[in-house]
Amino acid sequence: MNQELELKKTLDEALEADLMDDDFYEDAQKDRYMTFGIDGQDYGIEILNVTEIVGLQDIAEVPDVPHFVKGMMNLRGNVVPVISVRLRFGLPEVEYDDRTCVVVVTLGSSTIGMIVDRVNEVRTIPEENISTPPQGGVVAAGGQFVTGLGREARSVTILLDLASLLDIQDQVNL
Amino acid sequence: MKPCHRWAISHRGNAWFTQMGSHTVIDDGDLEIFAAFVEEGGEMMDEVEPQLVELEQNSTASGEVDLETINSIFRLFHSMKGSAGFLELNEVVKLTHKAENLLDLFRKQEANLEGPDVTLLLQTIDLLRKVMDDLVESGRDDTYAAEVVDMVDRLQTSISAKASPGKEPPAPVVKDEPQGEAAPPPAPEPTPEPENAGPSYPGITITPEMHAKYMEEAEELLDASEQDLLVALNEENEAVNLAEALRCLHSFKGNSGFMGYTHLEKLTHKVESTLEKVVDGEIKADEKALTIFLNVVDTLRGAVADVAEDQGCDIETMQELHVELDGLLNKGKGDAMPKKSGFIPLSAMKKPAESAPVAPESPAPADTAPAGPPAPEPETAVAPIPAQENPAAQKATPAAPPGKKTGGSIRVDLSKLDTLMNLVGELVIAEAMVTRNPDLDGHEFENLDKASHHLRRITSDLQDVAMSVRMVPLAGTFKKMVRLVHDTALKAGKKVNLNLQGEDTEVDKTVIEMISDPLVHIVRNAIDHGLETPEERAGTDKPEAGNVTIGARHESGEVWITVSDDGRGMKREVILRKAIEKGLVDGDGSDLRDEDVYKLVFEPGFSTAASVTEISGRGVGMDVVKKNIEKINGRVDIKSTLGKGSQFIMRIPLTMAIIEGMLVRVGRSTYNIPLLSIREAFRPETGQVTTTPDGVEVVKLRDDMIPVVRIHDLYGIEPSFDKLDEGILVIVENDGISAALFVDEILGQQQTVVKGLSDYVGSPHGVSGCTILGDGRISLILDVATILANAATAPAMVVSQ
Repeated sequence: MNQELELKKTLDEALEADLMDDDFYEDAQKDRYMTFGIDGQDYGIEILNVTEIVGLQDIAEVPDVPHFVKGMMNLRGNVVPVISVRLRFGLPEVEYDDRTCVVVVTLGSSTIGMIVDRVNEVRTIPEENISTPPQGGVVAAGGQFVTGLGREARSVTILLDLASLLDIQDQVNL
Repeated sequence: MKPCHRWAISHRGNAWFTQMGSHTVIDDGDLEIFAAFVEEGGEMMDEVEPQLVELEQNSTASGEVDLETINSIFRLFHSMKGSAGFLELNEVVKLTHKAENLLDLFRKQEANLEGPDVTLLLQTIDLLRKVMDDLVESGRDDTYAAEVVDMVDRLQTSISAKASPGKEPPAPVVKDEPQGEAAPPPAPEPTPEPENAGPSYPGITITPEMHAKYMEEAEELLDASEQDLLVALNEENEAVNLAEALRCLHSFKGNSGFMGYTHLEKLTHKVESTLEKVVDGEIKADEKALTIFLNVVDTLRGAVADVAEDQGCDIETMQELHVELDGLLNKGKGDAMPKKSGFIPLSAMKKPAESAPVAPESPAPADTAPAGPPAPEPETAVAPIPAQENPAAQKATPAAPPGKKTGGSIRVDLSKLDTLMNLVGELVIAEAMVTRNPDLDGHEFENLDKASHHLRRITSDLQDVAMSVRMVPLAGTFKKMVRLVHDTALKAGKKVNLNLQGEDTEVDKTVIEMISDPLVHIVRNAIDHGLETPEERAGTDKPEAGNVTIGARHESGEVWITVSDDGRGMKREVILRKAIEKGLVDGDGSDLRDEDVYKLVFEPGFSTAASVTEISGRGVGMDVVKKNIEKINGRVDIKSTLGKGSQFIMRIPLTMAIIEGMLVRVGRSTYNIPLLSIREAFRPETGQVTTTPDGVEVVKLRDDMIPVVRIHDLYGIEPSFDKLDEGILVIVENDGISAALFVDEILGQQQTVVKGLSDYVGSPHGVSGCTILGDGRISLILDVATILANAATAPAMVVSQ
């Protein structure tokens, strides 16, 4: 829980810093990724879309939706749908632990929560360090959502395309 | 820039104010209006000033005057004059009018704009500012009367110097002046400006917001004028109401002119002129005249709607109306005056003698005489309110702080209110999380308890307030019925007294929208079919005019909107016969209760063919009633006594945003079943349940066999109980179809705020929305209608007997 709070703080600071400098808003958000872990692998999404990170909450199941949509949660009085990124990747579900978090993102007019195993940090990955995803073969789970690979000194972050990750119409069975 | 728009509303509420004259001491409410006026005026002047300066620079540089800019400055002064006129700020009117006259010369290119003129205009603006500031301070506009007179003189001198003697002698200018017509040239003929003004005035961009505002206010104004016209028809104080109608129309005209809708402006102008004659007693306010006026209002309303959709307008109707109005004008005047004069909107509120043009120069000093209550006038019908208010106002004002006050009402985006509601709901949960925090268990904190108690009270008050914000009184909807009753009665050849009761009853805004149509149908039916003709009534002991009462009241957590008539009542046999003919009733229907029989009139297609029988016409459009009311979780009851009349009761939940539901648990999930569709709930005994050969479980309840719908199967969740006799069956009913929903247990009954599911998940099957429970968890609201419809399509699902 503490770790989550810390991360939240980092994120808030990052977002705040961005907002404070209007002129550099675009620039400041550019190349910055919110990273999270699924099944031991790091993934990143553009920070632009991330609104907040909350702890796992009670989720009401909803019928008649794709299996990766876990249901609805209450985010300060707003009813927000929640998906499990694990299930979306076609991975088996695991027990939620104290590091399981919900990353709340905004895409278009929808606010959606994404359950991830853990939230890591906000990373700056300059464009030149991003290579296109290898053709053919899937690098890791969720291969079809990959926009690029962010190379860093010791690790590789898989950058995801949020739009296709969240696309509810695309119900490709994994 | 947009004063007319705002005035329109504040004005009506303060209709009596004008009666008091401009130099009467005003009360707080009006101070507020003045403050708003001053604010707008200030904005306007801020706009004019740079334009003037620019104008001067350009004209000195090139020797040419930019007509566009002059026009736009002219408009701004004109708008300000209009607003000031409404508020009877004579000093401001005088100044702006003069400035307008001067600008008019430049506008018509009868003179060239020169440096000194600009200076003069700027000085005028400065003086206006002073006057306005003082207005807010003291509530008077005549403090600087002397300076105003001086400035007016200077402007006049300038005008006289400019105007070529032959064309425009100074004298007529002065004479014309007080008429203060809203449309620049007094002639009723198409005016040159509006035509080339196009969709908007030069220099002013009509933003979508302004447009929206215009639409909204146009509607209100037209509604209001319609009301007044109708009241004028029926009641004695017709002059007062006509004058109010006139004012509304005038505001509307101003707005339309501002927006550049010349066709609307012209027609309104014409009807205004005619109405004015009626007010002055030159034309008789008979039925025919009022019908024409009402037609005009209708046409205008239609035209406004067309404008909204960017469509052309119905010029033909308008032309016809123009002709009709002309006819009316001529009839009233015998040999018509050669030229219609423009008019002062306020004159309507004064007695005719006073409405005669007031030359600004001479009466100005007279006006500054100590303010007193308005001298008794013949038309003191308006006076009741001022009479009460006036002394109070006079007393109150000195004490009232001169500062700008806010209040009244504002328009707020509904989505903002929703957000507010959300946050308040969350606050309530958060409060519980803090004050009932498990960390506090087993400890006694006296001060903390006190503080939490305090907090709880505030949050619950806050919740009430937040809820009440969405509530709107029914008065607006009811008032629309006045016109409807008038028209329907006329058409049906019946005499009707309409009584409105409980107009102040408040319901949710969304509810208002939904009940409008049903109310129209019910009222129309009550008059058309419920009430007897005057001849028929003459044969009974009832008065010749039928009574229709529309009422609203709170009743057991619902709002009841009732429409009662004292007509002939509904005939059970006639309805039943028809229903059996149409195949709506099986058997002879003798087992049906009267009320159920009456309700057959809501069945679609019930009576379409049979306007022959006296009662059957009631079916037309009545299915809409039921549908709409059910959409907002309400229901309609009918009571009727043969020969005495009928009563339709629309029972509507206070708000659509709140649902009264039964909370049930299935496995780990909580669901909300709308209470309205629940008939009963029970734990079945083993013998009660049978399984049909095709695998459908049916429960026998008294004489009915009701199919069982297992919620856990429907939603694919893990239940606590699988055997029917371990859980609970909730019998739900909709449209005559029943089903037994199998749930684990009933948690209780609760009123909760309804929320839509996110667009992201669309609308899952069998779920109509969700609510957030007191503990912050989400529960889905079952869509009983869909569940039942699905159950019904399954084979052998509805087994009767």
